[in-house]
Amino acid sequence: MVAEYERRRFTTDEFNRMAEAGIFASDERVELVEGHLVSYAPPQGPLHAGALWNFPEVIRTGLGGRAVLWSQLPVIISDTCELEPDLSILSHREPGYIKALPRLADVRAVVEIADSSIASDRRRRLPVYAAAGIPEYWLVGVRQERIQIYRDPRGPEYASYRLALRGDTISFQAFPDVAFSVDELLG
Amino acid sequence: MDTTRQPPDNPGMVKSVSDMESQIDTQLETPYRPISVREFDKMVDRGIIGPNERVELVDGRIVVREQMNAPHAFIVAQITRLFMHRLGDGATVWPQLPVLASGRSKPLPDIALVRARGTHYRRHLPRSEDVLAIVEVSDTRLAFDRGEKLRMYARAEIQEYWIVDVNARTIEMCREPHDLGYGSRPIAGRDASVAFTAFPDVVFSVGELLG
Repeated sequence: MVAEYERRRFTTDEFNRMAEAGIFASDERVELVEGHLVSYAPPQGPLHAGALWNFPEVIRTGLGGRAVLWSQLPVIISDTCELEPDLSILSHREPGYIKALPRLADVRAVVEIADSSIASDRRRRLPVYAAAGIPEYWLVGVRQERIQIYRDPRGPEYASYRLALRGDTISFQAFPDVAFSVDELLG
Repeated sequence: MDTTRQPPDNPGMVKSVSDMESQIDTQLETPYRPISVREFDKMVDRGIIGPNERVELVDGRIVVREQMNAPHAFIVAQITRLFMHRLGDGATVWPQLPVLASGRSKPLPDIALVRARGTHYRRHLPRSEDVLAIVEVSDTRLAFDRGEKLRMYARAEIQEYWIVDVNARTIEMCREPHDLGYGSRPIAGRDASVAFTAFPDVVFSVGELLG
């Protein structure tokens, strides 16, 4: 049954003031999705950790100074949405991201790392990213050793999909000249 | 792209890698972060929640109270007046004011009837053990008042919870709280008389309470 009550929604400004006021525990990962406070389960297991280390290493090596990598840090997606993707590939911006969080326009792609297939809550984020207009979304299944690549957001979905497996070579739409081997990314 | 593998049943728009996984996705509930009373109070202190916002904390959810329309407001005023008049100093009538029901619930009931404790409430909001009864006037959110809110009051061991149904002109009297709800929930019609368990001799007619 549809709830007939209305939850109080928050803006990203209010959300950041909550963080500054110390409302959340220091080790807590809370995000703002459509104005609601959401706790995604913390990433589990060595496979997730290993991939979280290796992906930025490989991607940074490939892209050099052409992009900023932002790992498990907040990105302001809209007035009511602030997320912490596993890895955000950001445009260079002056004066950088030291004083102000990245916003949607800065995001070239996001990468989420899932260490189990169906139980992963990472997949829940696809409609959020698509609806926000994140241009490219990689969902890495470390156990299945595959990378789902979504592009061309249209409403809560992506119009383009590709599944990359070991042996394949992939690149970001924003940096088509830089190829990454799936083998190297998955290690 | 050197390798393109489209899911066979889903050549156009894709939500997920396969239909099966998509179905499972939609069953996942959003993992809302519950809010404690302490956190809620801090939001108010810091002005994140404004002083004039009519919000209440119900089992960790910050819920916006409904707009107070004329019938709802009138009935709250009517009940407040009758309670104060008939119960006198036997209880404190606590209308539209917060109550601490649990660590994750700070509701703003239409009317709470709390134990008379002198000036105690000057420093402490009533806690569930101080509450003799709660009355919610329900016009647009009957399902919420009979659902999430009822379970919250029951878990807080609020001994008596009345739901005044403005449209049906009845009062549902919920008693015998347990972890999942109330054991007894008789409904009094417009011609009936009602009384609180705590004050069995003080009788009200449903008609006069509804005005």
